[in-house]
Amino acid sequence: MTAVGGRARAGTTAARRGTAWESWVIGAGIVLLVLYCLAPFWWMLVSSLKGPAEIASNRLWPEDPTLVNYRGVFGGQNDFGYAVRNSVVIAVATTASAMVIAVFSGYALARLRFRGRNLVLALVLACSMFPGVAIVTPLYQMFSDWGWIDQYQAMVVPNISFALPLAIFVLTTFFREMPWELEEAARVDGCGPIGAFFRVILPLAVPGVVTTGLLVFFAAWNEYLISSVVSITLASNPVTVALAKFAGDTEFQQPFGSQMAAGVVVTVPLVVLVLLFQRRIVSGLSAGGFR
Amino acid sequence: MSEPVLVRPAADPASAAGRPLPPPRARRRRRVPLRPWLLLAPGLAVIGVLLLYPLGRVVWLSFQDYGLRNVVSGEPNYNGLDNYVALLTDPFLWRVVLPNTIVFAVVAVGGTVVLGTLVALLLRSLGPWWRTVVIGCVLVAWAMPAVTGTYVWIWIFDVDRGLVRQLLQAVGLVGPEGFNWFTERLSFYAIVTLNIVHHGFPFVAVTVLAGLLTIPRELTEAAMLDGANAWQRFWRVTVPTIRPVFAVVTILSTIWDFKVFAQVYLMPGGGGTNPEVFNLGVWSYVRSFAQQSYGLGSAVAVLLTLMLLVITIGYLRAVFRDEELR
Repeated sequence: MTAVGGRARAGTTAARRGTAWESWVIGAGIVLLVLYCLAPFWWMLVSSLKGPAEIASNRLWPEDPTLVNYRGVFGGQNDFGYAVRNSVVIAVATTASAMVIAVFSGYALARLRFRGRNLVLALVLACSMFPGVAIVTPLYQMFSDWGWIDQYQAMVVPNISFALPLAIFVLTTFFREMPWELEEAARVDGCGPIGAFFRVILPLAVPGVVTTGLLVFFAAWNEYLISSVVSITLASNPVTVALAKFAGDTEFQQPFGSQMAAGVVVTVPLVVLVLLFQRRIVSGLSAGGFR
Repeated sequence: MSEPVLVRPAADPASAAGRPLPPPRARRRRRVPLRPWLLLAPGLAVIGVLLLYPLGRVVWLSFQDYGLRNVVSGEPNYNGLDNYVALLTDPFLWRVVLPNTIVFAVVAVGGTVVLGTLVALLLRSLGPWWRTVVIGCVLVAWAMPAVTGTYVWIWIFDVDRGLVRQLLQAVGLVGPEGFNWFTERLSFYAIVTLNIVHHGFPFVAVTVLAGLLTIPRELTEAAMLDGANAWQRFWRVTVPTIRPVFAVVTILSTIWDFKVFAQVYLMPGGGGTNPEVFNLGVWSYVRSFAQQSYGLGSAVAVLLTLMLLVITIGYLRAVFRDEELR
């Protein structure tokens, strides 16, 4: 009896030790992961709040928090307020136009059956691999001819074309999951195809459209390559180009304080959006592969 | 709201696209073949005019000796295959640019997929509350814009005042003269890899998690009853079941890591002063816009596009596994 009891006890302790070990590994994993994810963001935030005297210290929080870097970002020659305005205009215009176009295409590809449907889908998907660097020279020439250099549309239009392939693909996967029987029902009740789409389907599609729209917005907000060529002056520079143009006191010294402060300004809206729409973004990411 | 399934399995591209798709009244719609094309017209027009037409122009430019003079005059100046001959016989391509592009992509993709998969496995083992919190943190990493993230990593590794230098100096690994991480190819790309993996693994993590959640519990339980340990369960059950998901995240990561631009270009030296660290994208850009040698720059761009095209074909095959392309 004692032997059996002893073995049983030993078994449970072993099992308990197993789970304790497992949860220890999971706990350590979470700590390391959260550190890796948040450390760069935290260091950016902390550095942005340190004055010139303190910035070189490796303290993990600002001893004497100051907004001097933020004043430098928005004042003087940097005038980052313009860049924020430009980026908002460009990203919103891109998102609105791309979504309207993508909703039409996504509907056609998900709902209608026609010859060449999969071929179109494959072509669209193939276009999402396009390297921006491959078409930046022709775009620069075309936009020079059209007088578009330093204008918003020189960034909005390429952003749309880069966002469209993946937007169409993600929307198509979302639209395929829709309860299309409801559209049939609306048709039976006397709605035309357009009426049925706008009254029944579009409201149900809002989550997918919002998700895709967020991803397009992020992509437009982060675009650097094309903008660095077609946007010359502060009047049209988006945040990415403006940030890269910040000048230091000397040629070889980077203005890290103001770069970090501008980085916070650029990143915080995205972080807020991500946390607000976490579930939507997760489903959109796994549906189409935005980065 | 506390529903633990964060990702609808159907939202996964591989399973959604790979599934046969019979809309209820599919056959009757075939009578109006005009409608789908009308709906597709705006999208296809934008893609055609702004992606495919410029690509054609790049190919056309790559057969020319196109410099500043031609930009001003607009006259073409054909030189046949000269650009490609010059490009492919340039030891710089084989010694520096291609290794930088390919070795970096292999390492970064490996790191991204391995870390993303580990994080997905970790997330699966968590309860709904912790899972939401950790995914939130992971998405913060994803939300950091590439340009901003790059400057943060530059700052962390700054030669004079960077965090890493101070930490290493404190423990005596670096002398008072410091260490310049950005001049050496290897340490330069180690930082780029850190940056890219940080930005790229969240996508892999949430996508693989979505795949993991579609694996029927009975499958794993059966393997456990048969005495398979966690390692065996992962390789014998998990990987084969969601192989398409792994294929898609690996191929997409490869495409992205081949065309990395801002994360190299904005680093110290990456913008042109240190050719040792160029990859194909940066080389093309510098050739075109810094050296006004648009023809050669275009030839480099065509080479990059061709390489991506090959990878893309693999991607399409992974996505459209069973469906024929009609």
